[in-house]
Amino acid sequence: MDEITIIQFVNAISYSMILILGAIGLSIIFGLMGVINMAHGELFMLGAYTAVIAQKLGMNLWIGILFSPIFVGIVGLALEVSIIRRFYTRPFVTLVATWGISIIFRQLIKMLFGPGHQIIRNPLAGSLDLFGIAYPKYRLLIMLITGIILIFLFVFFHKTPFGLKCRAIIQNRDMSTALGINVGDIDRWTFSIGAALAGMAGAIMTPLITINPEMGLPFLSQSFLVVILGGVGSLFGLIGGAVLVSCCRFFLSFFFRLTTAQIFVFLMAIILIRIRPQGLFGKKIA
Amino acid sequence: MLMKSLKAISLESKIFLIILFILLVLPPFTSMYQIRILSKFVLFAIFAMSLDLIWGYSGMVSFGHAAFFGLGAYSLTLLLVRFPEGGTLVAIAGSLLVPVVLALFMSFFLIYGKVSGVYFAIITLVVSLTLELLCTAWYSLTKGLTGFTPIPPLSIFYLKFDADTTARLVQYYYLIILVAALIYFILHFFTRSRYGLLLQAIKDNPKRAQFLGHNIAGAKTIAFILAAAIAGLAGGLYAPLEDFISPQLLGLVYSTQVIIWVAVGGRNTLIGPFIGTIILVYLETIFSGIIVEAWYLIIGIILVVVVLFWPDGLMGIVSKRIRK
Repeated sequence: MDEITIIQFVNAISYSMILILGAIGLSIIFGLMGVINMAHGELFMLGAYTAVIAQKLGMNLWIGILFSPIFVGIVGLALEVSIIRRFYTRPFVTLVATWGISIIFRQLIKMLFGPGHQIIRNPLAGSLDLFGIAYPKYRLLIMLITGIILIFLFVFFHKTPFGLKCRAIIQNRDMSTALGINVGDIDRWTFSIGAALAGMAGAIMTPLITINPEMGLPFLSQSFLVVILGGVGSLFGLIGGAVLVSCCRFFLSFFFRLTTAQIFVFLMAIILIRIRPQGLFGKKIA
Repeated sequence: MLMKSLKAISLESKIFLIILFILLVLPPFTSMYQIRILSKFVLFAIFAMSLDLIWGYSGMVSFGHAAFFGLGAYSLTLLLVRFPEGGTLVAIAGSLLVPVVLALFMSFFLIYGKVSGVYFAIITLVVSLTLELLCTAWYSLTKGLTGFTPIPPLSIFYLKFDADTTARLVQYYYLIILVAALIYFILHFFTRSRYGLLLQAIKDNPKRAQFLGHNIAGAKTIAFILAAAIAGLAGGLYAPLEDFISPQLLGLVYSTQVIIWVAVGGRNTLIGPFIGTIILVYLETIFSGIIVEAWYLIIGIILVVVVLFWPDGLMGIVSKRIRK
C-alpha cells in the first residue's frame, strides 16, 4: 500500500468513528422507544453551537466540549418531558413532531447567530507520526474519545442495573412494565443521554467541519444509514453499520466522485432493507 | 329534487365546490402575479392530496414524496427539451409514467419487502435524497445545481400554456384548475370505492384485513402508484409555470413541506390538505418577504402544536364544530 492509500484507510476509520459517535444517540432512542428523532441532527448542531458560544466567551474548546453534553442533555430532557413523551404509542406522529422541533431549533439558531458559517480554532493543530505517515492529531483524538465513549456505553448497558432495565425494555416493553420497571423514567434518562451524546459529537467535530444552522441535516441522513444498515438495539450493530458505510465510501471514492459514491451507499441501503429488514447485524424483528 | 341531491353531496365536496367556484371567477379581479402564484398554490395542493392518499388513507408515512413531484417536473422538462418531436402529450405522459416506474420499484422493495412503520419513512427519505444527489451529479442531463431554465411552453392543439403572457397564463390557470378538479373527484371516488375501504381497513388493522383474505400489498401498491402519478403530474405542470427547476424539487425541502401542509390541513380528508396547502403557502408568500427566519420558526411551532393538540388538523376542528 502506498502512502495515500494508508491515509485514505485511516481516514475511513476516523470517519466511521465519527459516524458511530453521531448515530449512537439516534440508535439508542430508536431501539428503546421505537421513536425516530428527526431533531437528532439539530441536537448535534446545538452541541456545535455550545462550542461556538464557549469560544465567543473566551473559553477554549475543551470547556465547550465539556459543557455541550450537559446543555444538550438538558434540552433533550426538556423535549422528552414536554413533547416526545406524549407520542410513544404513535411513532408516525413523532416523526412529524420531531421534524417540527428540528425546524424550530434551526430557525432559532439562525436568528441568534445568523445563517453564516462559524469557525472554531483547532486547539490541537499539527500531526503525529503514525507508521511512517503524518496524521492530524485532532482526528486521532476523536478516534480515542469515541473509543472511550463506546467502552463506557458498553459497560453502562451491560454491567449496570440501569443498563439491564434498558435492555429488558428493548426486548419486551409490556413485560418490563409488568415486572415493575419504571419505563417512563428509563425513557426520559435514555432520551437525555442520547441527546447529550449527539451534542457532544457536535462539539467535538467543530474544528473539522463547517458550522452553520443547516449542518444537522446531512448529519441526520448519515446517521439514518448507519442505523438502517447496522440494525437497532446493539452497539455492535452500530459499529458494523458505521464501518460499512465509511468503508463503502472509502472504496468507491477510488473510482467515483464523492457524490456518486454517496449515491451508491444510499442505493445499497435501499436494497439491503429488502433483503434484511432488521439490518445486517440486528436480530430478527418479530 | 335539487335539495335532495345537494344533501347527498358530502360536506367535503361542498367545500371543494365552493373553493372551485371562487378559483374559477377570480382571474378578472387579480393581477398576473397573483394568478401565477395561485396556479402554484393549486399545484401544491394537488401534490398534498396525493401524499394524503398514502399517508392519511393508507397509513404509509412518506418522507420523500417530493421525489415523485420533482421527477415529474424533470421528466416533462427533459422530454420537452430533448425530444421536442414528441410534443406536449408525450411529455405529460412522461411526467405521469416515470414517477409510476419509480413507485413500482419502491413498492417492490418497500411494500412487498414488508418494510413498514418508521423504516418506510426513512427509506422514502433516502430515495428522495438519492435522486436529489443524482440530479445534482448528472450535470450533462440535468444541468445540476444550476437548474433548468427556460422551459418550453406546453402546447395542446393550438393553445400554448406557460407564464409568459397574460393570455397564456390565464389558460394555464384554468388548465390547472381543471386538473385539480379532476384529481379531486378521482381521489374522492377512489377513497370511497372498494379499494379505498380496503385501504382504511388495512390502516386500522393490517392483520385482520389479511385474515379476511385481502391482498394487502396489492392494495397498498395501487394507492402508492396512484399517488406517485398524481404527484408527478403536479410536478410536471409546475415546471413550465415556474420556468425553472432545480434538484431541490426532488429533495428534503419539498418532501417535508408537503408533510407540514397535510398535517396542518388534516389527514384522511381530501379537502384538508387542499385548504391547508393554500393557506400555508399563501401565508408564506406574505410573511417570508417580511420576516423570513421568524416565519419558518412559526411554521415549526404550528406543526408541533397541531400534532400535539389537533391531530386531525384544520379539518378536524371544522368537522367537530359542525357535528356539535
